Amino acid sequence: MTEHHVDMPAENLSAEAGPRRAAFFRTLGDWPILPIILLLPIILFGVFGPLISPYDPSAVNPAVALRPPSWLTGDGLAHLFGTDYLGRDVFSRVIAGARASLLVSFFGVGIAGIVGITVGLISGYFGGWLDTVLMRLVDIQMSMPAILLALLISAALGSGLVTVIAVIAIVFWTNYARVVRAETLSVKSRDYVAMARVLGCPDVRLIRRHILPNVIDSALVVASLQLGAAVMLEASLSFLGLGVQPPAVAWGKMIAESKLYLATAWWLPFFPGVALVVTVLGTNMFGDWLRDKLDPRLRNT
Amino acid sequence: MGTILELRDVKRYFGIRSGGWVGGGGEKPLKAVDGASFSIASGSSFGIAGESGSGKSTMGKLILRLDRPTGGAIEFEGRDIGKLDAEGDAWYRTRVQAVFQDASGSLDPRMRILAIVAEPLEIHARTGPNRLGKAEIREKVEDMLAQVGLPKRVMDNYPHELSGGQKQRVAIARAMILEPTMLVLDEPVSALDVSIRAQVLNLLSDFQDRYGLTYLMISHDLATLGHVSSQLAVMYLGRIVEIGDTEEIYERPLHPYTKALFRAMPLPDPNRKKSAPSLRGEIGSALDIPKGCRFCPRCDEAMPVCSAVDPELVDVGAGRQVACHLIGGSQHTKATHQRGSNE
Amino acid sequence: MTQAPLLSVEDLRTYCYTRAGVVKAVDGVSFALERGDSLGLVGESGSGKSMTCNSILRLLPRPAARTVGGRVLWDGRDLLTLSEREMRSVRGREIGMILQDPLMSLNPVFTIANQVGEPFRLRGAAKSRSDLREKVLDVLRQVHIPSPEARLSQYPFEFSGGMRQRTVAAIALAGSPGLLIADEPTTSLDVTIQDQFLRLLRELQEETGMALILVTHDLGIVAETCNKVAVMYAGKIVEFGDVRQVLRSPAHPYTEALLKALPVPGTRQKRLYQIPGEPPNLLDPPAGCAFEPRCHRAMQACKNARPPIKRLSDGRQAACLALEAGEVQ
Repeated sequence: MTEHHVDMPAENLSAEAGPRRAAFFRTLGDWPILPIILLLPIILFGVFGPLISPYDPSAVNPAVALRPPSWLTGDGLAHLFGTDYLGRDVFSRVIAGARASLLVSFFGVGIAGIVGITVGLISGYFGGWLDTVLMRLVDIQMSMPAILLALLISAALGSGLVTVIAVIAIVFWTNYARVVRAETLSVKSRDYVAMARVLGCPDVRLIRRHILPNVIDSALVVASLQLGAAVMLEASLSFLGLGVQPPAVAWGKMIAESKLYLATAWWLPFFPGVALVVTVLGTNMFGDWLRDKLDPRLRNT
Repeated sequence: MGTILELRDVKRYFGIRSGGWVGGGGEKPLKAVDGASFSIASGSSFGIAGESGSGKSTMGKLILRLDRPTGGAIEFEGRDIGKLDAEGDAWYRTRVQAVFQDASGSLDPRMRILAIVAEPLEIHARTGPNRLGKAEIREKVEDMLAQVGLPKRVMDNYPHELSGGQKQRVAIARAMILEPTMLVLDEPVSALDVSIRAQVLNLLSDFQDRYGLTYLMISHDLATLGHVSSQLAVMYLGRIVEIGDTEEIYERPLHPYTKALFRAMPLPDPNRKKSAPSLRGEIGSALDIPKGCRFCPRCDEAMPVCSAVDPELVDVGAGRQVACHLIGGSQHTKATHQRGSNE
Repeated sequence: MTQAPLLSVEDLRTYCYTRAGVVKAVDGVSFALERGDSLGLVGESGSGKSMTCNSILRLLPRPAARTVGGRVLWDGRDLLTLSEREMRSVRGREIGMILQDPLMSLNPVFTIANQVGEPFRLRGAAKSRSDLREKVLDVLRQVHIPSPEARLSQYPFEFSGGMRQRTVAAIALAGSPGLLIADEPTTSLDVTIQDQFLRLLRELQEETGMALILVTHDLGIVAETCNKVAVMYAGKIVEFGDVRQVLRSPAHPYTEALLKALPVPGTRQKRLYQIPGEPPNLLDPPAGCAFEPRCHRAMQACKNARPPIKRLSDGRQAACLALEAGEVQ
């Protein structure tokens, strides 16, 4: 047989490896610059909050209550974002709120992802009655308003960080389930899955090795788009008083607390509001970028 | 040479209760495979020819246990593959492997070549007495890649980095690594360029010589089938219409459909002049099979009986069977030799 | 030959600009067609045969691919210099095109009548609705669509593969083109349907006298449909000539090898002749003849110089140094 071996042209293989490395550096050029600029400060706040924070976010100081942002009044950097009705530093509280918002949305979206991806894979792969039952469950859940669901869950669990995470997970898992199920159905019909079955690949291995890696892209895109929505939901819940409890700080809660001072102290809702918008915008833009990046049909355009 | 695979009146109807709970019991079934019987001798090459809609791909799926027949039985090495338990399934998977048409589609795009070729070993040789270590697996993969004519370094490549011919070699290496006794080849070279096609066909032929493999090749390409297979079955709308020794069928096709297929086959011979059009109309739907002979609406030689009675496969001697009212008994001699003289 | 040929392609060069570098997809292709000619453009994937056709019709995926040189003389004009507007009237009316996958060529949401009628409407060729209907029916009959009246209001999904390809042919023929370019028109069809379609092409040619360029990888199809053949390898035509001559006694080693590598039906050989290796990487083509690494007649000189295409004594053309050395069979 050896004499029949076909000489593989060396350049055929090596030529592929070179451009790959070069292509990696070239992709630096189309990194998501804007989303990174938007999200970087928020992430820094969330991770290094206590180190950056100029004041204790809960420290009450009635002497300086309801001060506007200090650089507007010529007071330098004392209170960049002003103070609230108890004299707490709004800048420190926005930083502290970043941590709660990010924590809640990352965990919420993460748990939703794990549940949703699992359900989607099982539903799509096994099909039959299991699929019908699971998808009806998704339909039922999706037909319920998120806030109503949140109220029910809070009523059952009480309010707090864990509740917010649970609400986000319960509200969001359905999106993953749908997307992953659809992708699974399409991947399942590919030849390499048929081939794996011919090889005697057990179901669990087949799902883990062949289907999951090929559907995870879509799930990641869903996740990035939902991070923004999760921050919003967290804010809504906090606004309704169902979110994190004092002394923890959250942006939604800050906006809610500023209700009474809207006319006199615009900075109270403004800065947490801006933080919220920046986060949602940033994650959504990142999600768009990720979708284009991972979709092979869009990759080359 | 004993029989390695035997099909007895295998049927695959869709849209009827087939063990599942899918409804629609009263509907007309789609008869993808409608009663196929044949046997394959160990170490031989068996070809199934047919156009799309003939049921040849369904047949491949049934034999690969990717689908279950709704009737009849398939026996492999004496065991009914419809009645295998988990252990029996594992046994079957190590004995029967497959190579599909679209190599890019049959290789997982997210896996490196090493992982792809090693996968059968990981599934079947990870436990028990035959347990293999990582180094042994790697060694086996290397050896198998060498056997299919690929250099070691492709192990670290992804499928999309290889050419079509190289990918099909990877697919063959994966199919061969468990040392199976039979390969199901579903259009293995149809997607390849002519200059690569010959390489892959030769590779398959080498493997057969070396390991005494049995091949079941499914294809629409009579030239390739004629090169590879010693026995040939021609399918039309779910039925085998002619079956026998390949060379004899090429020499003297009997069924009007087989004859038409040969006439339609393009040959690189500028002297061949085709007179009569090969065939009118198109293959019907397996949902609505014509009454009588299913080829009758397209057949130039149809007789009144053809649209009334479904012809059975009858033995016409020398191991050949044909399902046609024109053939069999005294009418046997009427079958005219219509193939263009071309060699 | 005093009269200018119907179509004359001269030194056509189309390059693809990829991230990894420049690919010379069409690298100096020249050929001429007379009225009624049918040219088989044969080659493996990546040989540049489809690119050649797309360059003629200026249907390249821009900006990735660009025709950087050469001339395409059609009816006294160089198609490469026409404005996009003029080009639009050439496409469809003077030169028709059929692509590989009929399902992709037909719009799933419009009826057959609508789509076949489109070229007539675009040209304002129909005087009235009933006139348009008649014209559509005529062209559907021309491609042998059974009971065309009943088919008018159907949608592409209701057609079989063969019927769809006939419909695409009908659309291409609606402009009564002088040249039809068919790019692998039967690859997605079954053998018997392919045979029907190739017969249809021959018949239409006889009726209308139009010229045909048939792109295919199958030498059998060329033998049955064409009178001229151009064999392409790595962006160049390596052999061009009369089908009978080329297929009976190929001059270029690549053509010869292609023919030898085909499984011959009815004769079960043990081994097929195989062309070693794979087609060259066009990003980094060999310095000499592109086929040299796989060629059984390669000489030292082949490594260094690209052989020019030369007319041989029997009238055909081939690009091979071994032939110039007097090795014509």
